Amino acid sequence: MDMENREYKSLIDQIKDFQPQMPEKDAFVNQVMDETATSAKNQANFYSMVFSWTKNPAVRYSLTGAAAAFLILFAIQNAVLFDRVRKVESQISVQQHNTAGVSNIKASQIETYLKKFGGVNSFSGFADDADIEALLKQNMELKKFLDNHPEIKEMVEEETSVYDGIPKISL
Amino acid sequence: MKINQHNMLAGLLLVSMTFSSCLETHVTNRIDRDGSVHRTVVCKSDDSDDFSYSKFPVPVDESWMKTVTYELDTTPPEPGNIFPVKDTTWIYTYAKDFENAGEINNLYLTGNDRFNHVARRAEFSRKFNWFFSRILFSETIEPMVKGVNPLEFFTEEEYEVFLMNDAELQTFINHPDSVKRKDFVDQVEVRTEDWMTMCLAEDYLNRLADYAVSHNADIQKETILAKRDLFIEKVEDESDIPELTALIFDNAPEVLFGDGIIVFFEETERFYEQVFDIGGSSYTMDFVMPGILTYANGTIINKQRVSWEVSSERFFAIPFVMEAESRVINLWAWIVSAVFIVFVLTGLFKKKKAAL
Repeated sequence: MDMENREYKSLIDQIKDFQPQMPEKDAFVNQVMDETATSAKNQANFYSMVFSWTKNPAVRYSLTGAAAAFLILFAIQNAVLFDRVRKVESQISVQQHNTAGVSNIKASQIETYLKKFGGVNSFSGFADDADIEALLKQNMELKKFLDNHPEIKEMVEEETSVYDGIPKISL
Repeated sequence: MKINQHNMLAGLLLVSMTFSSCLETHVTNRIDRDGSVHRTVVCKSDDSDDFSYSKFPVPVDESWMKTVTYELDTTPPEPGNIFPVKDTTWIYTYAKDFENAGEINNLYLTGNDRFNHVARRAEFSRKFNWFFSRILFSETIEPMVKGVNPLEFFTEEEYEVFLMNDAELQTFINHPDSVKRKDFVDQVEVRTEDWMTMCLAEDYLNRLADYAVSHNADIQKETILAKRDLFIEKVEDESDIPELTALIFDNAPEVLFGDGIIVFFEETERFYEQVFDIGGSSYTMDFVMPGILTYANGTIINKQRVSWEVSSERFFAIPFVMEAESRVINLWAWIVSAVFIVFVLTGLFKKKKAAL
């Protein structure tokens, strides 16, 4: 007698105990007991049929092997794909890093500031060594300026780090 | 019969390839797991006359859904310059659904675009791997000329620079060692010119050799192909095809190949005009793959999107293959597997319980 039948019996016992005056009580109780027994038998037959393969060792080992194969296949496929996806993701991060580098150079008002000091107008190209010299000189001036104005330096850093093509501050 | 007004074929080609077209074109293929493709072509230009189908680098026609928008440049002009730097930019967006890659290939075959003489094809395949399926999509552009493989011509470092677009070159040069890098870029440009001249020599002489063989001319194929170095030497001074041919063979072409060679020259001229015409036209091609990307040979934008810049240098002498692979989850396979595993484990558990 399994758990469900025991619960049914317990319920029936309670009916017997607490409702002694119930008419046709015994017939009702017997009917419920019969139905419960039939249901349990049908259920047992069903499980017996569905899991009949467990009695045959060859089928049992085959199905167990197939289930294990599924699990192994699942693990291997996930491991391989995880590795490949990780490689792709690393490429995205490298490219984003490179792009951020370019944006920071072109970004904000650093260029405008340099323009104010004349000479090199853009980072986009270097005509000759003189341009490079001028650029280096202006970089030093810019560094000095930003060192003297930490609040602006902070703003530049913040703004250029999220630069989206539109200058957000003016130095 | 001049190919162009310049003296040097390769020089013209290089100039034309580095000349930027005003029309910016961005193609996006959104691929579905069943192989259908939603393609959008976004064309941008500040000149509304540019929006002619024959000027587009990819085929588009009236059957596509078209949306027109524009951007106004609000940047104030520089002091002293009363004209704005830029004008209104028109943006034409075309969209169309394709049931499979074959329909895209048909479009490439019948299209009336600027690149229509270039052989292009799209391919889709799906490999079923139970829990996942691998989706592969590619577009291949066949080479325009029979030339020298740039991988063999350039060194590894030169080839990397050769493949860079303008933005990448700028990033490459913007480096503490910028002077050295700029010199290296200049060196690669010179080498690129040499490579193109070699490719043209190879291509032209092969065409001429094929003509000679097919018309039973009294000259050996090997003799023609052996003129490669002489062609490269002479092409700097003479770009007229018949005169150049006469120079390298030291005889009149009609005498060597027969009177029909005139038609060959005309056809060859038309072909090279087409090759020169698309020089400088580039467009970007994006694939948006179903599932998550597991491989792509382009610039990976995010977990699903990969991008390529399609410029004529890329497919000048070797095929340019854009390919991406992604994986999609087969949800039904996961459910079937889970149910099966639970079923087997339950059976084994019941058997063990019954045995106790």
